Amino acid sequence: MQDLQDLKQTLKVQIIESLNLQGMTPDEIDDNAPLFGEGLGLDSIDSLELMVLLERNYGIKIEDAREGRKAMESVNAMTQYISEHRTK
Amino acid sequence: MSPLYILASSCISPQPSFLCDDLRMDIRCTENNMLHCLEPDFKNYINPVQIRRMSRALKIGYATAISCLNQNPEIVPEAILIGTGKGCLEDTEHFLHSIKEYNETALNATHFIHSTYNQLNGMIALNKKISSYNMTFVHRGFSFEHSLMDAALLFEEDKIDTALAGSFDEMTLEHFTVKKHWGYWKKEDIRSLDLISSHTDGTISGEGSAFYMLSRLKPEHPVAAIKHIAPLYRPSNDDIAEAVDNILQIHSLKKEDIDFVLSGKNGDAKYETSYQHVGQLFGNTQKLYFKHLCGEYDTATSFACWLASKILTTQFVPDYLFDTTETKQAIPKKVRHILIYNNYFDLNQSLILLSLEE
Repeated sequence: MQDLQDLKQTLKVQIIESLNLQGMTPDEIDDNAPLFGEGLGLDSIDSLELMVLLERNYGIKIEDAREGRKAMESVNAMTQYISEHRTK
Repeated sequence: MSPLYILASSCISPQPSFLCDDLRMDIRCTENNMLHCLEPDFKNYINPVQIRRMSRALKIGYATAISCLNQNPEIVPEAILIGTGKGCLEDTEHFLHSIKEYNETALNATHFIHSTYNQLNGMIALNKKISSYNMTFVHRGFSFEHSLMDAALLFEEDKIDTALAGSFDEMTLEHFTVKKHWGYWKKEDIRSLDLISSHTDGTISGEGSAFYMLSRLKPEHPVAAIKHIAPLYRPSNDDIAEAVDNILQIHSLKKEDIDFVLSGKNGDAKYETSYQHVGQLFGNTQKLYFKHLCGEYDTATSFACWLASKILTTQFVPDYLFDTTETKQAIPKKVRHILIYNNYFDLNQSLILLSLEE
């Protein structure tokens, strides 16, 4: 199992690739900044893409919208959620 | 039909046609039977949040439409009418591959949304806040023609005064390969600029987008106008001859009044006879050609319309439109009428008349 720091780094790369954040590097994504609205400025379509990312890469299927919102608050929140719920 | 006065136009094609006010272009050529669009800097037309999600076809179509709208910023078109034969192929292919790869689960929303044909219509309407009539036409080789015909019908019924009409289509490597197996393209690689004089089976692939701001009312300055659109499904030679006579009669023209026939001849031996037939109908009338510049695709006639409208408004007829193996006639002092004839794989054939309105 990857440690949290490695997982966070991998996740940032996956976010950049899946959302096609052109010109952005993993280091430019603040671990604690909100992913939606302020911070990274993602929108509702991006949230769908992040759900797909979680399902494809970590076997996580989020069915409760409130849980999903909390899980995708920031990179730190996502990393924590993945480490607790991943099936692959 | 009601004339469609062209107030503005914009075109992205395999040639440097974008933001080109006349037809003085340095023509590009390929040798692999695929002509791809010359892409401008899309960041000038699309905001950064949207651009990261958009495929090539969307970027090309959107930038073309926006640059057309920007030429008359005071006009908010009362209709958005777009023709596309294939829509966003790249997104469609991506989505279909995902279905297979992930066994119909965990599918990307973006590729699904963008694979729908009316995605470009929606983006233009949302971003420019145009909440009027909005229609996408997907009729293979008639797609662009139907967007024009819809504009003509709306004008004729006095429902609107202005419309943004256009087309977009892209070619992907995968679609090229599929169609290659079906025999659409030439087996041998040729120089695209030699296409018109080629007499083997198959043609070369192309892509592009062209948009027009159309007006029901004639502006005070001289403009090109689309005067007639005749889509012909699997026509016989007699049907084509009858359609030509019909167009000439409706517009009180004689064959000699047509200054140029802009032919969609695509170098495919299978369709040469239909182009020869139309050529014979017009006898010595000078023929011009365009498929060696844009390749073959569902909405190639929109590129032809762009060329014809530029010839009419600039009165400049570039050498690259002529077949050097044919006798070149003297160019008329005033080019007034251009008839486009296109044959899309025998199924969809069309005649489009453009005239200079002074």
